[in-house]
Amino acid sequence: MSLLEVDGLRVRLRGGSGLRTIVDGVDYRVEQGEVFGVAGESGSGKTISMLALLGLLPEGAVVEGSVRFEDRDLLGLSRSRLRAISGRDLAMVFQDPLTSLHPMLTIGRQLTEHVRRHLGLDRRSAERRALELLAEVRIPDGPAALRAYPHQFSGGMRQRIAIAIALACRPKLLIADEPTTALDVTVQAGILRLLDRLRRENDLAVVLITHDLGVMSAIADRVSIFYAGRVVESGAREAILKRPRHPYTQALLDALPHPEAPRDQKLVAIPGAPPSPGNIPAGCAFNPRCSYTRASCLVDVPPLARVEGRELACPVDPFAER
Amino acid sequence: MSALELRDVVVDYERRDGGRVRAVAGASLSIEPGQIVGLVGESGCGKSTLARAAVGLVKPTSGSVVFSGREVAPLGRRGRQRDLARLQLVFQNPYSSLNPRRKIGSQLADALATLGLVPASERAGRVRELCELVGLPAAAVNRFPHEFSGGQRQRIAVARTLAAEPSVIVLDEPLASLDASAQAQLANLLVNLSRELGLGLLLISHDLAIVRHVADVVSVMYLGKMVETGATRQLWDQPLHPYSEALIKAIPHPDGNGFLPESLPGEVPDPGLPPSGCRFHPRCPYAFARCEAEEPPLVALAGERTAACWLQPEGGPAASPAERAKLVAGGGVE
Amino acid sequence: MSVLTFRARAVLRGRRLNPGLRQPLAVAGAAIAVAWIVIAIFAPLLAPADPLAQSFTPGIGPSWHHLFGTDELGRDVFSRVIYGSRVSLPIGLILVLLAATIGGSIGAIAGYFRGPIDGLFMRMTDLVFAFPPIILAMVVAAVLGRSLQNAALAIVVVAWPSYARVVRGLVLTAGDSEYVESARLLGASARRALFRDVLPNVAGPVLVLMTLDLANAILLLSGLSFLGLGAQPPQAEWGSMVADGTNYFQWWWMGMFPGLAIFTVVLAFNFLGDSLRDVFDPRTGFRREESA
Repeated sequence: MSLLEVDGLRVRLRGGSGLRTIVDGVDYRVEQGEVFGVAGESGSGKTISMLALLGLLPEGAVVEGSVRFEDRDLLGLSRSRLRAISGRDLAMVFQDPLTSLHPMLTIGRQLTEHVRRHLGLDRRSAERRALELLAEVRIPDGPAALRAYPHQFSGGMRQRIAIAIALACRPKLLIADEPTTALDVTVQAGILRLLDRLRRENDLAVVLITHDLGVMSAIADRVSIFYAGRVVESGAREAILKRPRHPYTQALLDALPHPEAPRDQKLVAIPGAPPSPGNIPAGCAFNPRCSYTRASCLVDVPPLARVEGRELACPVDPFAER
Repeated sequence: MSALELRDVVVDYERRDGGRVRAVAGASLSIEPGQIVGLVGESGCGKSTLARAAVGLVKPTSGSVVFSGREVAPLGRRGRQRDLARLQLVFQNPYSSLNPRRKIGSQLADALATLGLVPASERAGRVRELCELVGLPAAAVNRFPHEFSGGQRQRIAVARTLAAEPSVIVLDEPLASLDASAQAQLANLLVNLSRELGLGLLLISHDLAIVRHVADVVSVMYLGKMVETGATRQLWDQPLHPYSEALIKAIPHPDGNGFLPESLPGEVPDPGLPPSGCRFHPRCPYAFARCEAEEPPLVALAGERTAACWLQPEGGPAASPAERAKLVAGGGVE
Repeated sequence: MSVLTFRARAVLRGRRLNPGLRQPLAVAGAAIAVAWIVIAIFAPLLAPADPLAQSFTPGIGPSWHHLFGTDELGRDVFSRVIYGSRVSLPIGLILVLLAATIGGSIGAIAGYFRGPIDGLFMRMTDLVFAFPPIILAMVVAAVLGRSLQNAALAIVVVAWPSYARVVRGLVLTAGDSEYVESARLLGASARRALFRDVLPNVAGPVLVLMTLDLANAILLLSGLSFLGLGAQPPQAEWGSMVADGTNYFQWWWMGMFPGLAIFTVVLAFNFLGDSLRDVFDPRTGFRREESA
């Protein structure tokens, strides 16, 4: 049994004119202690699918499917039960720590409050734990940090603090939504190294959501590529990023500049743009932008099929020899 | 004569709580006609401020900005000097630089009208040409900005600057809010425009990988100062300044190999309180006594490269910081 | 597999307040406001009697002939309430337009020139803001003399600073906006760029402010008249009618109906103003697609 099992997750949000499908039938598994990368561009549904896990969807959202965490269905839980789990066994870190940290409370308050609520520690132990956590995320001068406010820290430090809060109760799974997107590249490297170390030390599973395939390649064990609310390819990081078989994955990689590729290698842009949730093409959502389309692609939604050690949603499979 | 030249530009600004901050502490760079110069650096390095000073949106505290041989007067209350119209700027956020309530065709036509370069009867035709130049369909003329994707909006912004028939365009993080494919598209467009129209481009970006693909020359900034410049290929293969080296090693590789980028210790200091001596010394792995005491000037090295580091002596051969550090350690003072 | 309707609390930014509730209130507000405007315009046709004519028996309660009863001098309250709208609404409107023009101009000048001019104007604004509006209005009205015109003037004095603040803020941010900077890079003068960008943006917030302010103005006007500083007898004005009504509590209709009139007008314009605010708010009015 995997730590997290998502089957047929479908999320529809209330838009201006009725419901729109943002996540359209997504399956994946996350094992204990592994870093599972979810890659996709804007409109791919990657963030919304995670918010569904934690019950953070906006008013009027319709969710179908099943999300089993340690064999408990998260979707069926009451709000109070869900809150008991999230924060303790399941934690999330967002892109912008400025908005996920409370601006008016000291770091110490935010850390200890969290720990006391979920673990029932007294103030002294909670403070000790808070200092431990700050040391783990390498925030210098813990005691001073406890008395400081979020705005007194830089973006990278705030993200470390957000990670510390997330890990306060030693969760089994951490969901990180674009944790480094807003950060400078050297700061990003620091956070990636931190995440990598923390997960090894704590046997922590991480779901890493990002549009940056380089970030994915740095720490993910397995990767899943989202497009227009569906999973199009999924498997071991090296296999997917070195030998992609889905046309979208390949196109994404072709559009990215690799720091070591020859300079005059042209960046190949994918024609068109990712579809917005209201305008998903019929059949395979990628077909208007794909160079390998066949007639069937315009009609049938390709199922995610198991193909030689990976999952692939492309019956055409143009790179089958990889 | 360079198309655009910045000489020892210093820009101070007032912070909300009254203090003065030196956002740019003496930066020089030049753009030749048809050349693409990349300016890279992380937060707090002052590259955006430098971009604005380069086009006259901000008045430099000292130093000069020279465009086609003439000094650039900062924007005052009246309209900008006519001949400065050929020096343009593309902003980072394509949403906020376009008026959401007007069709883009009329906004482009408006730009032409303001510039007075094209008579009214020919404007519609020129608007269509501009759209074509940036790869937008002719029908785009009748649509509103919100009907386009981020990448297309950015191309509209580029089209608008092209209306001025510029010789130099400064682009402040034009790729930052775009997704991978739109970035590739815009990057390719910029290179093509530069080659076809002989445009000089100053591309400011924190994304080094893309800059490497697009720029002919790269300048690296740290905390308000230029720390290294050189031809892209050489700089990449052999960075001479420890900060450039660190930046390059911090870039992730999207190839599935599991390369974990390297980070720098410490944090970027507050630009209002720069460290003594070399601004980078607290975080530099090669720092030695002199670095804390004196600030190294930007000096010319062999092969048209410059670096501001005590490890790199003026006129010296290009050698990596690690190699130079060994020499210094072995032989004493450089 | 389970199908659920998930009524989770919104944690995401940009949460929209229950949209279902907004519409009926706005519509009700608009309807009432329009109704009163029509009443004000067609007052002579709608009122059964001359508001000043003391032709009836005083103290008759609400009845078929006198829907709102008669007052202590034998005047028909219904007609007086109807004619009262001819005082409150037009004057309120003029006041608000005056305050908006004066305040808006001051704010625009302050925001455009910045520096010492801005400082001067803003200190003037702060000075007025320092006083509670009613007290200040009372003082000004008392100093100028008891009349409706002077009460109106007093209200303008009290109302203009809000507009100055709002418009100044908009001009300041517009001046720094990238749209204006782009236009200036292409050669537009500061003034031209500001007019093209500021005006469309100013209209919205100022309109909202004016609508809400109209409600306040009418309330303030009624209040001043209630205190005897505004409309003078025998003029039919709601505030002074309520004042008369307090002297004749047993004839509750004398104060109640004018009071209700004030209440409904103020409420209507508040609803209207709130919904206008939503229309002009860039987040709810001009929605852009936020993708997942």
